[in-house]
Amino acid sequence: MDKLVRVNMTEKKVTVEPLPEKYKGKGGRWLTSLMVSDEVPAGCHPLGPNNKLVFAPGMVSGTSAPNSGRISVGGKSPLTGGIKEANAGSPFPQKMARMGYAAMVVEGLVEDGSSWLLKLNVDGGELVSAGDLQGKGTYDSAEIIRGKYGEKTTFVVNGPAGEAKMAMAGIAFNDPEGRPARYAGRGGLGAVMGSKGLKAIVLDDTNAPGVTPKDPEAFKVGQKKLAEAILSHDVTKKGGALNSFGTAVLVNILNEAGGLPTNNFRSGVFEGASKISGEALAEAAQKRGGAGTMGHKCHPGCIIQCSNVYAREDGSEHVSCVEYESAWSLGANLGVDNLDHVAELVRICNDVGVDTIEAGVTLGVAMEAGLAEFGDGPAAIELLNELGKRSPLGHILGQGAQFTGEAYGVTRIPTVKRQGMPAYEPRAVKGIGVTYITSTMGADHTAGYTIAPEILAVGGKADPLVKQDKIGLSRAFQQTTAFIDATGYCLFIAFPILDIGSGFEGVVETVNAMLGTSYSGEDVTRIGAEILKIERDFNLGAGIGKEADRPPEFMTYEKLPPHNQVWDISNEELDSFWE
Amino acid sequence: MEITVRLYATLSEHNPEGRGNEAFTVRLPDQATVADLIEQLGIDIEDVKQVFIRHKARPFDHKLTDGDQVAIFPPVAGG
Repeated sequence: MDKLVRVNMTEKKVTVEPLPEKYKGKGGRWLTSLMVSDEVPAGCHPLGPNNKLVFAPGMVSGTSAPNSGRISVGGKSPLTGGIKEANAGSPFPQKMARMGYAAMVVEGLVEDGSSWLLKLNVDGGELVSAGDLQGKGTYDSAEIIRGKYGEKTTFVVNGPAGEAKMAMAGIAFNDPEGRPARYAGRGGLGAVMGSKGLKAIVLDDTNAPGVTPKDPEAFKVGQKKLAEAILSHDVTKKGGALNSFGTAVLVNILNEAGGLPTNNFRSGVFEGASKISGEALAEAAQKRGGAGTMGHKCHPGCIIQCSNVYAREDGSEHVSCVEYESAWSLGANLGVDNLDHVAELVRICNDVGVDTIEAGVTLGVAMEAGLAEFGDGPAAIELLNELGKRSPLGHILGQGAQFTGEAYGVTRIPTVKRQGMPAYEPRAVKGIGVTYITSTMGADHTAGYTIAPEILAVGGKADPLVKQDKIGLSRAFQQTTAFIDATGYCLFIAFPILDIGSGFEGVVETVNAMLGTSYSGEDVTRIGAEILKIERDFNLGAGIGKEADRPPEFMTYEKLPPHNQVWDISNEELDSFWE
Repeated sequence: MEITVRLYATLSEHNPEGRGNEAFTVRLPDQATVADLIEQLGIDIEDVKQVFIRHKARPFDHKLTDGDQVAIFPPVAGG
């Protein structure tokens, strides 16, 4: 991985250059955030000619290390106005790494509204007209791409929401079966891709040099340690919670903990929780048969396999995948307890090309505004379909929860830095609230997943209702996470490596063996802190400082049942996060 | 005393009525603890990770009271 490819959309030119020295040995979020910081003016318009979209596989992507198929996408976010890194699991980064590319930078933009497809090969490749895909949903687009370039083609596709520059648009990567279903979802990077006139990317890996660790033997040792940790930990092993029930296994435990946001963050308990849970998904897969599958993987080499395929009553495929976040955002958050309705909402999100979290939070705010009743799944489906129609209402909703709330005079808007909150109530789980508020990304649970100790008793135990020590807890999680996001490893390796020391060693050892570095455990948090600082500095340049590290006001005065708690961590305490 | 129990994820196979996550009632002697309940249900305590009572996580030696709603989980995670 010693090459950098630049795709200039203004000049329709694709050029390959050696990876500059300062970027060597970096990957994933580390590389995207550094390159965005170096090349994108913080004050630029996210949809203008000066923003760039950076794709980077992780440091060990393309190797045989388990669960290493993550790709980071970076740029300035049209949703938050700050820096953004969104990542996805897909065969794409594995192939891109094996083709020798550490990063791809998409810059400039087309000025005539035309749509383009990038055919990337080891020498660079070319931009060809994507007129046949323009305006089409991701499913139809994927079918055309597979028809033209082969069933096994590895690709990226942008949906109509991204083409329409909606701020909740994500970027879809293919899963191993060719579904456009693995999203770098958050923060509107699909709109950035749309603004540039880039509809899709396909990889041609003919003559790919492959990826070879600097020390193959040491790599194998580290790889084995990590694989053993994953396969022996209760939540990640075969037949364990993630493999059997998917990420939605969390629905019931968050509900029992009183932290499952319900009806636009009005309660922490949802009566219909068990009907949209991982257990319900597994039961549907078993009873309906056909296409329904649990234990599906998002990329080759994943040994956790937490994805799923949801089938209709007749066994035909409805959608992949119903994640915890989606079951919550399009289920409990809307008061919807019908899995078929949730699945249809996820399918629409995937087809139009939007982040399921932002879509669900936006629909919750729309229901708050009276556009539909909580609990009315068909009405939610009708509202979401407005995006694809590009109606005025669709354009309002497509801009996300904050914009929609402002358009309708709603005071209860659950966002931080204009990004919708994920599936954990900050008033009932204080540490994750600190993560939402202080993250450089806007409200983002993956940025520092304190749910592990606060709810799941993984990596220690912390009382979710207590505010003490949560700043430090979130900071430690955010630093480690930033490093994991740079490696290309799936964040879910955090569960086993938090509890099993040799698993953590395996991560550090594979990185060292790959790069020829001698990082220690302490370097993990040091590098993580460095990544966070790059992002924070970009945000400061974009005018997003401590004044943006604030909770939604209603959470400071509205008591959340069942614990009847308000958000009680002061702004001064929040400011200490960066001190 | 009488309490209401829900078993989740892989533990739901211990539901005495064979009804997955659905709630069922258990009668226990006064002063019974969470561990006593787990034993009475025939669940290996090693398989239990978290127990929530009235929405709060409680340890195995926590004493139950009449009318408690108890939720029992094996190790789970997600994101």
